[in-house]
Amino acid sequence: MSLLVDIAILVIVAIIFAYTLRHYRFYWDRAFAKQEDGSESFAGAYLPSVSIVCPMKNEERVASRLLDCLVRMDYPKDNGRYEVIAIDDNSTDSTSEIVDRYATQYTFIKAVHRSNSKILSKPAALNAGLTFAHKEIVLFFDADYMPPRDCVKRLVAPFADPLVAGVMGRVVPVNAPDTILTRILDLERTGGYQVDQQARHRLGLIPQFGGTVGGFRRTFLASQNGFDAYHLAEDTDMTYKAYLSGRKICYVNTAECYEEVVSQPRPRGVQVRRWGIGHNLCMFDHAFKTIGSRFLPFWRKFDGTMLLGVYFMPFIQMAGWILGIYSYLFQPPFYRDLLIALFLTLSYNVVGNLALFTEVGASCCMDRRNRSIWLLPLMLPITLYYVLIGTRAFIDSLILHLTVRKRERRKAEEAHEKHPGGETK
Amino acid sequence: MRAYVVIQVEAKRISLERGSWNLKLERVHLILGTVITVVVFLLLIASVQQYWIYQANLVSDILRFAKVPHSLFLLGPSRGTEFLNAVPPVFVITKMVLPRNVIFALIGITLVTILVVAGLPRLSPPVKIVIGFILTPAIVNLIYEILHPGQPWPLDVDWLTSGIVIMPLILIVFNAAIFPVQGPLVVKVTGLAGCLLFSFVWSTLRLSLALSSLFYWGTFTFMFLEYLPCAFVDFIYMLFFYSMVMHRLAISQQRAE
Repeated sequence: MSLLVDIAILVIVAIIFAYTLRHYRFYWDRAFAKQEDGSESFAGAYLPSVSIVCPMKNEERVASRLLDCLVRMDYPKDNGRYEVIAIDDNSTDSTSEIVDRYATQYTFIKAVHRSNSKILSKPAALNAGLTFAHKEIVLFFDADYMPPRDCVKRLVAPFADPLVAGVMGRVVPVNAPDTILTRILDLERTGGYQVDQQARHRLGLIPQFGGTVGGFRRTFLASQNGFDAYHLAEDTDMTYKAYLSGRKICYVNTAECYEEVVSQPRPRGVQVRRWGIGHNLCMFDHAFKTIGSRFLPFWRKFDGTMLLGVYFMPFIQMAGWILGIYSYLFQPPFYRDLLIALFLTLSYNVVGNLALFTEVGASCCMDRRNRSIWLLPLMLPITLYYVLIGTRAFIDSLILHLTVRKRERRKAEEAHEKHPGGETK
Repeated sequence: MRAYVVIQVEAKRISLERGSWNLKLERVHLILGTVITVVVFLLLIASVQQYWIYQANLVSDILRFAKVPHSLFLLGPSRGTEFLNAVPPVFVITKMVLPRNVIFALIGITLVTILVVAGLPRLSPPVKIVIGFILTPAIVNLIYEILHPGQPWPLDVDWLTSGIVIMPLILIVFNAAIFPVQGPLVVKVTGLAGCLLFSFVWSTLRLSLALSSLFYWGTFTFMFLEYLPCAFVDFIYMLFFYSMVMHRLAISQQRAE
């Protein structure tokens, strides 16, 4: 038993160490390697037709702000090259009227109303919007976002490359000064986009489509029959579908879009748990496909698999703590017998944890936000909070995968056997 | 609110080109940092015995000040390694052994506290988690006290590793994350020296505190103080030093522009 525990601890430390090295690689590349202009240099020269889909559910507070931003967008609106599809998704407030008002006022805005829908999910709303989107490129913006005037121009530029299936822009919080949490989330976003996404893009790995401030080629979305309406992480799911079909996603660091982040820990916890469950379900769906893909080179497979495991890591970390406590209680002096493990554990606690903070520190430095660097230690309680939520999300997703989804798949297979070629969903 | 948002948006738009900026790599500083890392690392390996003896003497002085009766073992290098793997250089026997009933009562009180804290609607989740993070080692160490009464094993390990293991890690972090960043060398070297000095002072104080608590309050308190602040506190002070130095470097970069 004790040997098994020792091996398990070493495996956990090794996995965590692999993630540490990955983060340092990203930090080093983003901070010190020359950042190529890429598609950003011809932003504004390549102007395909664009549909912008905006799902809104009870968003009366922010709906008109987003639509105003899209009206002011610096993109040619002649010859039907630009359209906005504002979706009132079963709203019970005045969102519906706001959407209608804008649709009446501007010819390029279409109002889509969903009511009494069977499936109440964001991807279902997006799919409803997609049926009305007929342009070459489809971009998505959530209602609480504020795209600046040049955002669409910058976002569509990478589509000049026919291999690009999707794009993702940078999300920047505007309400950072509101609370301590918003300040910390601002730091998280800064590190996540300025360093993590940009490095993955530059290194030819797997930058991720984040569900908003980005989009896809309409033909690609059509080939995938739109988003999976039941998925909690339809964005990650679509990212992997793109890569597994031999296409790629581009991250555009200069296509900034501003958002209001949640200001209280509880809703943030709910948000992270939902993302965690969805992301883990993607891991169950795509991990083996990613490893066995014939389109992906070795490092893209490696990074893709690690990216899928991001929300599995809190569970690993929690497992490490529990095993550590077990060893401490039942097999002292465990640490003395395993000084290498002790060194690795300490290294993880110090160097490993610092990898993430290094990314944030470097990104603050690049963004010239000198005072924000002082807030780094405040990220620690939130990191502990995420470990707890992430562990719960992993257990939830595992149960969901083994029970509900298994049952659904079996039903679908039975239906397919009865009616081959028919609708199985 | 709206006006504020517009101002924020406009302010951020002005510096949009930051999207393709990067930090200038200070190759010379990186090489210097690597040399410093290697030299300090070799010095540490060469003087590990002297380090422990010096630290044990310091701890002994502090214990004498705190009126803690103790034995100080300072053996020569020939037997040093063998000795250090067996018992710590300063040996203290506790004068307080908690009765089992008290331990069970303490476990009960801690569990009730955790449940009360978890149920308090006004406390935000991260605060609850930090409280839980402090109370969990308390329960773990109370259980340890039942399972292994009077055996403070981790002291050996802490004495072996305190200061010594963390120092190479500090060197690695500074070399990888601070030295390559553009900025005055003096800030980087001062930051590194400050962090190393702090780690030495902190590990000495921690050992003294742990040994005093072992004598006065028994194994449980000692284990609690040892277990909780070990690597966790090492990480926190490194993070503080990192953010402090990065802040200075960022300011100097901006001034240079």
